[in-house]
Amino acid sequence: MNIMKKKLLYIPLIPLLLTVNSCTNLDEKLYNTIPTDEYGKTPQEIETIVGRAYASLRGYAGHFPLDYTYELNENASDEAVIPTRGTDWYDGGVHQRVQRHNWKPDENLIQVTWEMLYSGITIVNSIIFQVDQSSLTADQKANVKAELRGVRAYYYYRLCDMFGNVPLQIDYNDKEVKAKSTRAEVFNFIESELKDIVGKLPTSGYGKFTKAAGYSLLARLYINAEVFKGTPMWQECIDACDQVTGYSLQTNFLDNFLTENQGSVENIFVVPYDATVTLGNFKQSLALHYQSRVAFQTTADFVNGYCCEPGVYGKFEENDARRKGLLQGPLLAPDGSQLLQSDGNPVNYTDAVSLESATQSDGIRDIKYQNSKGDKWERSNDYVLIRYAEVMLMKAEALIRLGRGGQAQPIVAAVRKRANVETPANVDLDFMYDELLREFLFEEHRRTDQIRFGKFSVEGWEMNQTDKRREIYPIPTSAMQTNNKLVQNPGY
Amino acid sequence: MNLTRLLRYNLALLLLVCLSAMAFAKPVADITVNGTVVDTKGTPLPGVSVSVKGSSAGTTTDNDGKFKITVAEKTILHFAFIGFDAREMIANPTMFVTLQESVTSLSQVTVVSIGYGSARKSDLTGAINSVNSNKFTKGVITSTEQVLQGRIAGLIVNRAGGDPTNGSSMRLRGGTSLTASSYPLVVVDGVLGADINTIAADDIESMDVLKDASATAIYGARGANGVIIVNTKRPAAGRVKVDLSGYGSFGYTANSIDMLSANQWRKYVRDHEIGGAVDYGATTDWQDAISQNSFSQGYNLALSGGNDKSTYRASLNLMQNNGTIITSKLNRLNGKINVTQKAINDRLNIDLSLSSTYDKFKPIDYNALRYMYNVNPTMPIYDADGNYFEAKGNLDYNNPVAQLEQLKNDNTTNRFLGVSKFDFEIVKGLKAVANLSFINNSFEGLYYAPTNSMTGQNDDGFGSQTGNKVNEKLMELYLNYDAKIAADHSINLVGGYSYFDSQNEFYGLSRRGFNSDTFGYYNLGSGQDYRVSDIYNGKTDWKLISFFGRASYNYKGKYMVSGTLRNDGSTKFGANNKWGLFPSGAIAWNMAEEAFLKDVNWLNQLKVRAGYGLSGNQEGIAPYTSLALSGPLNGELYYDSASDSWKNAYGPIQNNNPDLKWETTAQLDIGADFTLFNRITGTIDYYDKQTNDLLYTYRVPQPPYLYSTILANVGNLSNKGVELTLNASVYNTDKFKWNIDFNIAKNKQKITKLSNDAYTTEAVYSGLLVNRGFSNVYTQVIKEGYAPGTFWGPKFLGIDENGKFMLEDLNEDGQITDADGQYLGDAQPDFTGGLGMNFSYKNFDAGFSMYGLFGQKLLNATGMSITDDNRLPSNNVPDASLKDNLTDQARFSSYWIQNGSFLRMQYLTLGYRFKTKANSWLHNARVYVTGENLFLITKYDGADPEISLDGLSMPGIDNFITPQGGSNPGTYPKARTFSIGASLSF
Repeated sequence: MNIMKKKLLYIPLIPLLLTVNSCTNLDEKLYNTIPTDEYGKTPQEIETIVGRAYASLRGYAGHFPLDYTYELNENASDEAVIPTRGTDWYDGGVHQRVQRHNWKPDENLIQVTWEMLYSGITIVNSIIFQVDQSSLTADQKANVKAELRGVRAYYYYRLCDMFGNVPLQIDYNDKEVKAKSTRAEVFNFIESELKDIVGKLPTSGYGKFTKAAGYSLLARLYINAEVFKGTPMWQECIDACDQVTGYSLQTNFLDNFLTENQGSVENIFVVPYDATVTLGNFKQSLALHYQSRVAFQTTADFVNGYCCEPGVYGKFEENDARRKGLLQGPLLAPDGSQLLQSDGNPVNYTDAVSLESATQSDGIRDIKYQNSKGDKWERSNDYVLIRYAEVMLMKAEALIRLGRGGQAQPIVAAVRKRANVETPANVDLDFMYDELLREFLFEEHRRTDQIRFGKFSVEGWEMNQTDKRREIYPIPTSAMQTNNKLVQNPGY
Repeated sequence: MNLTRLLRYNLALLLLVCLSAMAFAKPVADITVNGTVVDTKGTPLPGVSVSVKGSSAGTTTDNDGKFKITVAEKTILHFAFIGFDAREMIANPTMFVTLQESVTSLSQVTVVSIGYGSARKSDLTGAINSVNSNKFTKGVITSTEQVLQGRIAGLIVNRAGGDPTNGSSMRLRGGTSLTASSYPLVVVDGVLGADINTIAADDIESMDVLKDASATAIYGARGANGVIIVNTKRPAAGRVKVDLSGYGSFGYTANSIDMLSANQWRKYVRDHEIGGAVDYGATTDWQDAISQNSFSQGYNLALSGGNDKSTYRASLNLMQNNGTIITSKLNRLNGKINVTQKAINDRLNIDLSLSSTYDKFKPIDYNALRYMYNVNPTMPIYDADGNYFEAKGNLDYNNPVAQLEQLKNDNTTNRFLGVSKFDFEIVKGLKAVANLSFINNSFEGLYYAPTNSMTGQNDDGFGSQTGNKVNEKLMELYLNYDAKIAADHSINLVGGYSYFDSQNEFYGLSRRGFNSDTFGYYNLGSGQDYRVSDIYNGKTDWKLISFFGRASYNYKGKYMVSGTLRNDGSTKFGANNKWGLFPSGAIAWNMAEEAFLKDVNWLNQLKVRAGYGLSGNQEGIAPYTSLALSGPLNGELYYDSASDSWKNAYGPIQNNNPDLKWETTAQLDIGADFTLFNRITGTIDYYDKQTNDLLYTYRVPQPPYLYSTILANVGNLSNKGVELTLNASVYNTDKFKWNIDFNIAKNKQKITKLSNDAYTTEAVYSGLLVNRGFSNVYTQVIKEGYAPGTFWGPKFLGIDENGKFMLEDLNEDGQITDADGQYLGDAQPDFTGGLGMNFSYKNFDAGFSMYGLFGQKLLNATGMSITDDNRLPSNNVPDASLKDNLTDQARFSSYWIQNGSFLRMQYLTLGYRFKTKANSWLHNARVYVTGENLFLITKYDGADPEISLDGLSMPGIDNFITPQGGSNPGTYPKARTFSIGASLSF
């Protein structure tokens, strides 16, 4: 028994011996990921990180810009609508509320738009931090950071445009949540950033934030300066437009939107897509009738959402090349036979639309971006954010506003000539207002343009909300909950 | 340093165990007992448990009823055997023990597994319920969870739908988490976290369900959901025994939704003068077209034998289970070998077992279960050329038969479990146990969508191979000490160390753009297109390191005290919370043993007990969640203009949270176990379960956070309830026996907190729908004061004269918006229960089992979507849609929130046992017929009210499309099956 007892003494030591070894080591071993602070040391690694800033432009869940900024910009304007079509597209009434400017702060649409834009900013901030930490030379860092700050300025421009006064969060290391800056402060930040970097921006690179993109964005900022900060800056806008070089009008208007539109000489800033490797860009799939699968011989479904508000089609002259970007009348199969709605009536796109109880054919459709045989749900058309025609028309508008309509006329005429239409000898603001719709229909310009022309908060089709405070969107409820320094915009 | 303190602490614990062992090990003269145990007819009883009273030391009788045990003089030996009254006798060198068949046939003497040991049921201080194999369903058992359904008070075993390739979910006492699984920890033969389906139901002897914290705290950070200890059938020494059984079964869809037939559709079109409605000319019942009568079969062979030194048991189990939807099936082959060997003068017991399961199964494409309600009944299955007919140009409108038959989906799962247990008796009463086990589970899925299929068209054919391998190693070392001081004091001490490592390797390969469908999924390289995210692989690894101990004290079998302590360290926890401490304590009092109750004849047993403890749930934390990580971002490609190519972007993929830790559940349990009139045994428990540090994915401002969400421990969840289990032996004569098993449980669940200083969430709208016309419609809310799965939306007031919905405009702004949402009930059942009865008359036997959930509300979202005349004529509608007075478009409101209470006849079985001669080669022969899911009593309008109630994504939402667009197993129709089977023993 004594021997037993002595032996017994050693037994508890077995686990203890193991304990002394690695058996209480709780460090995690990583395999296919890496701690964030250990990545981004070499130029090659930096390149993959910077690439993410551009990838982020395809946005939230990879679906930028549709669903989010797209609906808030297009449907709130007088261009587009998603009517409730029988069982389809009621979706809790959100599309009707956007049409009628009755959106609320807890609208999912507003939340995801806010999050998408700020997520982009956060990504860029963190990349800037990583670039600073890397072993690049000071010059390399400055050049890489110029592009990144350009992308960030683009995000802040969208925030300034849609939400007005928003928090300016520009330093990754600053972990404090921020209160809102005034819209003028946001404006000044974007302006100073763009001015500071534009000299260092690359002069070429498809899909990159180039020097031309920098000046174009600056011009867009100036043309809206009166709205954004109360001071018009028409001459500054003209000066910025004049700095945009190397681009010209594409001979054929619709060639800017081809499935393979990378050859366009007009597109300045685009988000590249490729149906086989990237997600996103299903703009066309969202707009057209279900039977378009047969009509266009695609392999994926269409969901019959967006269409034109009544009257949009009538704003085009009959031989306006830009009207070919719209689909009106009967939808035919390739063999010429009439395609039918699911209630048995023919698919026949009409100008008339009923917001609350539309048929499947209500509304004329946007087919600006090419539909190709064999197309999938997601398309290869690169999404155009800025093209040269915008630079031209911004300059023309600014000239008119400065009373130099004579100088504006030839510019407008050039844009219209490309569309096979004549231009009156005198172009005034009213003419410009309609011309901007014709040129940039469904390109997310209209809401901003309407506000600048003072025509956003006036009664229109299925819209009688005249509260000017609706010219900026509310801070989403979720953002208010996570940042107690935020104050809701007036009127919400 | 924390670690140093920890080491010291554990050292102290182990020394305590050691010192206690020496202190109480007083030498007493030993005697060797040789004995025989027989029943009242003199037949030897094999397998009788012979133990030293008040401890778990002991042996069992061999095949001739003989036993041999060396004990201290004057030791009281306890003889126990299922179905017989236990007896206690003072040890003598030769003993002849007769056991009386117990009147109650209920086994208060059953030994119950409690984790790192076992205890008599009568000595338990915690709330533990058990199910014995003789209560298992006979017939088609596709998942082992199924045999627990309705048997344990407070355990919801939810089998949503009838898909044979889908298991069940389980949840005990309302669950302890919002985001993590509420599935209890499964311990198979001492192996924590083993897959319950590694073991065939035929190989299971019993399952013990540990419910309260005093019982589960020994499993620390993995114990909060409750623990299910699976005890497999053990080899028994003695004569070689062969068991053979088999069944064949036939099943068909039990419930379907009555949709318009082709002729009803035509009548509607005629009556409403819909000129252009397309009549394809055929008559197809799409639900019928994708259904089949399923034939299933299963066979089981088990051998066992051995002598007093070594024993073995081997079994083979073969099952072929076809679903009631065409193409769907599961084949399973299961083998298990178990060998035990005694050595070193019987002081060392070695127990080795290997179990392996091979599943080959075909899951279906659940979209077909949506299309079957959409597609027009006049559409033919095949066109004139015999190809699948597809009416292109409509959404969600593929031919359901083509959808199922064209898409090839073949999966295999392998599960392997190897256990080696070494049990060495160092001195009398003190044992050292080493338990080393290895789990290797792997999955492989092969998928091909041909170029001509509606699904494959988008990619010109899509093929993939995906898989993963899980390797888990577990090493547990512990000491178990049993001692008796004088006659009245029993002590049991356990202390040990556990090391667990789990590794998961995963991969996926896809290709698109196939020029030929010839190869299917076996030549993915022939596809020409791919996305960057089409190829991926990776590995995760996490470890759990633990120290644990338990002390129990028992005075005269009347007063019992026990305490446990476990210290768990997990790699998954954040740097500031690497180790968690989980203590528990419990007391019990066997009142019926007291003098003042001894004379109460009707009260045979009464034990009251109370326990309190902490346990944890760490299932909600995936490995590496606490770290700030970067990696290639799948899908986030960028165009590199310099090389004209697409490249993968890298970046942060999550926020770090150094405070991340387990969810802590503090549970108080007060209960009583009783036996009345020698016929009724029962258990009643009250519990109060408070889960703190609830994990939830919080929204955080971005910037400064890199990512828009963070997993953090913030909220509190409360579950309170009462459980009652009753087992009665109503009749118990030689000829006629009648037993009743009944259980009922009430649970009240509530989220009590969702915010703290750092993270605030007042109300999160959830239950997101993506049904056509319902995009971004939320149907539920996660809110303080409410249960998870609370429905929130406008209240239905009536239908106006125009057939439009009248909904309550709460804020009177003239429109129905989210602001008009109100509480519409929740998906948590108020009561759950089960009722089973077994009868035997002479050689005939019969039994049935029913279970039900009561008081839960369900959203019939499928009905909401399809019961809308506006869908006609292209989409089909249910009959009911033409009979309601509604002309309005489908809208979400309380109109579609229905009472989901139900009672299901789980099975009814009739058997006949053939008479066998005492010395015949045939020991036992029985034939039986079983009917499953014979009827369902419910007021619910949808196909079946048994749908998933777990988690936050869609509890209680009966919907044919999930927010992820994925499969909702609840929509697979449940089968009604009839089986015929036989079992033989040689």
